[in-house]
Amino acid sequence: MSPAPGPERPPRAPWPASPARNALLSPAAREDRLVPPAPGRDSLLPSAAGWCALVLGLAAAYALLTQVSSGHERTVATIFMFIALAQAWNILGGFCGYPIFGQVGFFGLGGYAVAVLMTGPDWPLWAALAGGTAFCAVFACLVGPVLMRLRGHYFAIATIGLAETLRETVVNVPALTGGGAGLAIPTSGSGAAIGELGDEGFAVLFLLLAMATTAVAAVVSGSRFGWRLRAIRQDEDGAAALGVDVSRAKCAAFALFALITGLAGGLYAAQQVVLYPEGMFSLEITLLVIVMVLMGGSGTVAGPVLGAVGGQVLSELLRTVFPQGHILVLALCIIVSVIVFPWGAIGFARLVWRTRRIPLLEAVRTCRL
Amino acid sequence: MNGLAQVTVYGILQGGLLAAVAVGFSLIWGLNKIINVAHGEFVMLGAYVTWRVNDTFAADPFVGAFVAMSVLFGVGYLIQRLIINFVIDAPLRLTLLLMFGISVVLEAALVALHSTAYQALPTSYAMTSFTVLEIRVPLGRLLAFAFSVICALAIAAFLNRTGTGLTIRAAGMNRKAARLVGIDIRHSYALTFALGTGLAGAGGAMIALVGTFSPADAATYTMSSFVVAVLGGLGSMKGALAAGVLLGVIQAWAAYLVSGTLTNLIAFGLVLIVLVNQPRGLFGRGRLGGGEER
Repeated sequence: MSPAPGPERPPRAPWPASPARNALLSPAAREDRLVPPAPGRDSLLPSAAGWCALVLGLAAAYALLTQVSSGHERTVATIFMFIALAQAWNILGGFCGYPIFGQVGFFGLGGYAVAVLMTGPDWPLWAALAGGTAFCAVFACLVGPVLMRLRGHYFAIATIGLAETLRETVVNVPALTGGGAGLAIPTSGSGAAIGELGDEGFAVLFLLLAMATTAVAAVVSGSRFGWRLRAIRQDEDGAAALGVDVSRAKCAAFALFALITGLAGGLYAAQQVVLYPEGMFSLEITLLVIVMVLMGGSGTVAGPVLGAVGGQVLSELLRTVFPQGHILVLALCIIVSVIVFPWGAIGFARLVWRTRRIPLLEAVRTCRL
Repeated sequence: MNGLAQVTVYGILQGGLLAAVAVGFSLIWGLNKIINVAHGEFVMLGAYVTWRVNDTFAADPFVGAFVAMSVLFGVGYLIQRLIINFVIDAPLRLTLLLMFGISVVLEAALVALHSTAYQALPTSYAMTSFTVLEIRVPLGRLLAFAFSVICALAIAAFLNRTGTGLTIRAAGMNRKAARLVGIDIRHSYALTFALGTGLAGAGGAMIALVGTFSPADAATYTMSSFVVAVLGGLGSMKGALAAGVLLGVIQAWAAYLVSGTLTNLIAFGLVLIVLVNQPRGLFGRGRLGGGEER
């Protein structure tokens, strides 16, 4: 990759934003207008990561204290699971700018790998979790180089296709996975998980997973690897020209994404009594995660946490207020927030802090026809 | 052998329906650069409009089909003009999420209006069939096939042979240049979307004619549109037509020879292979760049 010879162009002046000039911006630059600036020295959050982990830990501990033995352990566990999934998506979709719409494929793959290891060879839960996660990561290393070659629409479609293919594969090997009839997790013997842990145990496990993934995201965010991913998001060819090993960074991000997702899926599967393909591979999970990341703020560490907690709380609230049409209201919220707040909450706060003004319709001005 | 021929005929007839639906999807994708994940919901909306017309006025499904197409045309135009046009340049993850939101809203509306139960629209002629060379051809399916394919071809002809079609294609190819020569691109983008959803409405009407339907079926039609659009090449209407018929035949054969559960696996496996190797589609006619972001 040697740059094409030609007359050197002077660096472009750092123009202030204005709708008229947005038309002149390249798509990559325009895309970046919708991404919150990375934390710099003048940032509101000197170390978002540390704060985030601390706040998350405290809030989680408090939530656990209030919810234990009140029958809400499942809800708490679900929130933590979505934090982990959102952080995983954020590494690939937020930092790296590859919006993956097939996350649930890896979720289901990890879940089924763990379940099969627990039912077939009768492994104990911990060994099965390790095995299932490793399987997911290896699988990601195999498909990653092929899949990450695609960009834009092709990538999005291919990931949806991959998730569907994985689901259909699970349906079509009933000898191993029980197919459409479901797969029962053993509740007694060495492979039993539910008995010894209970819902509280799983809530704690998911909490640990959420904290660990947030820590990983924080490390990635501040590391050279994270900056490579950001460079890829902004201008992949430019990053390659500057010497970033683009395909390696992309595949590493993909493998990390798959590993976390698979682990979360495995834990989720172990918590279930019977696994069904349509439950483990439901598109709803993918969508919820993306909504959470985008509403919280993609490309930030605290964003997915905020989005996952906020999204779950919001959907519970709507469920109580509109028992009939809560899904409808939620979808309307999504539509409005996509149009008005594409940066998400954290990104928007950061933008306000940086620019000292409140750019309410900036997104529409940038992106409208 | 006779059984296989019979299955092939069924596959072709079903494939024509899928093809017409997918042509609308492919059109929106190729020209508006929008992955319309709400396409299946538009199809179901068309089916329910047809059913309503039949229920209220006792009108024939083919009359209902024209009503469905008009209604869906209007709905599509408004959705593109009032919602999607505001985020047309936003990154892919946002537009895709927006379309998912729209699909959820449409499905919730359908469920609220007609419950989740399966509906059927019985007619006097849909169930009759005639025999050619020992192969049974159901009349209703044949009519549905003919109608949907004719609709798809009519829209293709409109795009390729009229001035309005030319402006629509120009706006889809290069927005800035289209603007420079005085094309109202907001209107032409909305027209494109409306044509795509109108075609979905026609497909939905024909689905109502030949079988049962429910709001939950929407995802199936979205997915089959995906598959057909990718196999035919992004943004290629002729490719989508051919791929739709091909997919119908493949699915019918797989169900006949192996088992019904394998059909989806084969379809999505093909999609992955095509995408990874050559995003121009099976027929090599897809405009490369049909799905590129500007």
